[in-house]
Amino acid sequence: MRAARDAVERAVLNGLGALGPEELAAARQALGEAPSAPAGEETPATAHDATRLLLALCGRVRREVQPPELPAQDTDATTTLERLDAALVGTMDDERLAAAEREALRRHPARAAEQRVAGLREPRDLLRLVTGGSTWERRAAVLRLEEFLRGDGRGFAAADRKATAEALELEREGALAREIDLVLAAVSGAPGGRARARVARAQKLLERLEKDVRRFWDGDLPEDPVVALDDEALATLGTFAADAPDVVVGHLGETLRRLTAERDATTLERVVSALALGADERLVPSLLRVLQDAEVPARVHAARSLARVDDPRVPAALRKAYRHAGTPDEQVALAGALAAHGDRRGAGAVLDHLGADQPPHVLELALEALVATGEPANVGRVIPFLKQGRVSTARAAAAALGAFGDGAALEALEQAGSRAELRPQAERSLAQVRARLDLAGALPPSAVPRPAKGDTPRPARTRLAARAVGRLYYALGLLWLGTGRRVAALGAFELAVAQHPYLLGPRLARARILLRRKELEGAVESLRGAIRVRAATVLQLPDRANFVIRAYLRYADSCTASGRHLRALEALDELLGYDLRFADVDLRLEAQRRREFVARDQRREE
Amino acid sequence: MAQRFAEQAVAALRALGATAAPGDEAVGSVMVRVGDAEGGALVTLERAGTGVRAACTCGRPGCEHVASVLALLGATAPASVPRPPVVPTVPPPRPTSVPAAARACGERPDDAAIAERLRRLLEVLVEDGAAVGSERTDAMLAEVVRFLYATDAYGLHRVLADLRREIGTARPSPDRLLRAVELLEATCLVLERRAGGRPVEPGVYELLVGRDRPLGELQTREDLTLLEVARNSARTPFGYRRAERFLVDLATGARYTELVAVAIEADFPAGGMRYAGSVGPFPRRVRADLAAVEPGPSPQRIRLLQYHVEPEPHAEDLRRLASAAVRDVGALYAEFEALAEQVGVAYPCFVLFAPARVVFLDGEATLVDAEDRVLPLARAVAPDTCAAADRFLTRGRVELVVGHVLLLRRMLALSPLSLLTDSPRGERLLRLR
Repeated sequence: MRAARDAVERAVLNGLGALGPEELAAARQALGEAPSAPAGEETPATAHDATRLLLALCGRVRREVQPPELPAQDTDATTTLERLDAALVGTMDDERLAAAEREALRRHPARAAEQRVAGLREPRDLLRLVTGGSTWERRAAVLRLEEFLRGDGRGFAAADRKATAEALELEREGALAREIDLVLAAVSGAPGGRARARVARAQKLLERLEKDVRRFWDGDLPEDPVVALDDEALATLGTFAADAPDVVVGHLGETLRRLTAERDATTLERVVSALALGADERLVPSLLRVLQDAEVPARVHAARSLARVDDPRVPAALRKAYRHAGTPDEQVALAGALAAHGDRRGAGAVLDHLGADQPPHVLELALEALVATGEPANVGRVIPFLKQGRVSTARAAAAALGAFGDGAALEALEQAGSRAELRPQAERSLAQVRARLDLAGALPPSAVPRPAKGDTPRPARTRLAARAVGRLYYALGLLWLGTGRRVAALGAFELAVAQHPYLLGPRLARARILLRRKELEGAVESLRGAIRVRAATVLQLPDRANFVIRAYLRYADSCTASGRHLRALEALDELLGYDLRFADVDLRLEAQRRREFVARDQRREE
Repeated sequence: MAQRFAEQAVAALRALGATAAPGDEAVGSVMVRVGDAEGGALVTLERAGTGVRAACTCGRPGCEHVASVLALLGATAPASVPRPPVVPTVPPPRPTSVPAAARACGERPDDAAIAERLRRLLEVLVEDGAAVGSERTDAMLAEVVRFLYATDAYGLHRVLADLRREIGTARPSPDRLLRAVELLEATCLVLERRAGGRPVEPGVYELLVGRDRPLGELQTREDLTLLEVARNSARTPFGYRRAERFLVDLATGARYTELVAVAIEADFPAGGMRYAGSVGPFPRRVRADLAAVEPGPSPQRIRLLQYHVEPEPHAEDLRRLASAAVRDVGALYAEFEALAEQVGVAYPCFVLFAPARVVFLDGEATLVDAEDRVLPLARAVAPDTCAAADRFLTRGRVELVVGHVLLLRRMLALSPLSLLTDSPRGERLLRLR
């Protein structure tokens, strides 16, 4: 029976020529059929014979199949599934293919990152990895640092713990910000308090959303509660989706499915882009569907989100999507996402789009993809983009150079730091490169003296009398404000600034009043002045940093609404050029999302 | 002249002490029974977005039941009122491998014509060798895809899509190619049998070939409490995404599937008897006031006509679900074999399996029953989904694995779709696909 079945299967797979009259007769005999002709006079097999026999023989074999029992287990660690399979069915082509897939999954960079982190003993080294590592290395290092901060680290002094928490707070960048907040929230001290406040704000939103989702499915709410969220709340949901209850995540997945099926491209893009910092694994099936069925902009956002999800379902789906990518945006974004998962097949395509002749948005996407696909050899190709007049391109180039971690980029980054709008990103990239080199024990001395951190050099101080008058006007303004006389307060604050240009309070108070009066341009101008005077004092307090972002976002919205896309883009670029590490991560995400939408609107306008 | 039913209804409602509200926005759906319990039908009007969706359980277009409801709502005159111009928003067509001219139809060819094309495809496939491949095979396969484009032959689409995908890969799997050929042969036999006027087992034609049955041919069910336990979906080259939702009746343990063809090409025809599908997040608890079920092997195809969704299961539901699961690998083999006997070929069998334990070998999970019999995961078929299952299985105690049992060479393996695990966050149904 087995020989007959093998012969028929060979014929189906390799061609009918493989099934001779003898094999055909043997197969018929195995099935108990009478021979169609005397021995020696058999007719050649037809395709119908082969498929009919295949069906019948496979049916026979199927009926004989018995459930296998677990073989006696080896006690040592050498027992593998391949051995189990071999014991049950023997090795076969499909198993070899599956083994190759399994091997690919095991080679995922997240596993290598975990191994690397497991080998690091010193919190200082872990912090360096948090600064300069890949997404996976940073994530693994934060998880390891959590043990130290929560008291599991042996011999870890309280002072070290405090210093580590403070250093970790400065690393709240991109995809890792939420995870750092969660770690810090369990730590006492100022960083812990700030993190708890941020987490509590997100929790409040998630609790409200959970109730709304239930009301929606009960028919008490007419509009989808996720779609109804304003942009800032949507960014919060996307950032903290991993902490959301199943009801909320299930509903979010259903919203993605519905918007994809209904081809509501604009709303879908709005929702998917909120997941840019990485989605929860419960959302993977929905995001994969967006990746396969949605329009290009939503697919690009889905790829960006999936690049940060450590899930075995993702790389295969990204590979498939990359094969079918039709536009440069999509191809480059998918190449970057694939490279983040250790598959560099798209690295060449990314480099192909790294040219000054490319449309700016494609060039920026290519630079973003280079963060994952790039290697030290690409430093020379990226450095020229640091000098680009378009600040978003220069910033993307600085981010790529930081990710390469190559010492050859140090000088160029140090020079780029002299551009005020590039300084925070250049400093961040320099820190990344230095951390990487430090870990490798190859940190060279700095070639160019670094400019003083934080504020621009201040001119000579104003006269003491003017300063005193300025403070008096400020106090007067506060008095007016306290009594509800905003116009008078505004005048007093303006006089205070005129007398004492380096006094921060009146500038911020003026911005708040103007914002409330919807005089957005004036509010932004006031904040701009405050940041110019003392950036660190404004941006290193989370509430103030959040206020700055909200004011700029409102201003950008008003510009967009009045068709001034270029002005909105400039304002958002200016905002993203600030050091926003102390602001809430979802607000930063919102600023980035808004910039992308405005940039696209402007492209369309052009 | 006898008083109209609507007038009598208004009087009856007023008798309850209410006055009419200024608008009807609060009304979500209306169900009207026309005729008696035996020969009658239920007409459902349900809000769908900004419009209203109408359905009659008889399934016949322009039936007398709908006419009666029209009369009830006061629309006695023929549709002479000028209708507002409707400009459908048609998204730009996406690139596809099928020439647009060939797929303007969506009309279903007859069984004999389908059988003839399939037979020719099988001949070419076997003559040239399924694993060898040839231009002739590719051309024939493309022709069959064009021939069946946008029709309701969902079962046939599934096997053709599998075959096309396998042939298109750099290293096709011999086992999957053989399964596809075997399934095509079985499908061909069913088509030839039906074209010849010979009887076919109930539900087998729908499973292997597929069609949208009119609602009148379906059995209606009322007051079902269903729990959605898994989802599956795949793009097809036939203009739609095949989306399946698997539901379990919490009272009886009966399994159902909602099969929906979601258009992914702009020219994919909607309407007709195509089921638009229900809505709701995963996992959801569905109170179906009215559903239509196709006869056939489990899971039977179901259409939810009137239902209410709860966005998460109750704790008691999950316990009931676990109790409805199979715990013995031998019983799974028997279930698989019973389906294969009914269909005439090894066919993916939807199961709920509650393993006694999970054995991890080199980080990979294998399900084992109380008798130490093994049900491995189908890693050769779905390595990524199985690897994701491994992750979830390591985190908490697994209570249930939902998926399809497949024949891989000489053993059965489970291709998982979802898991019920007991994690620190409590009992949760986790979707894998």
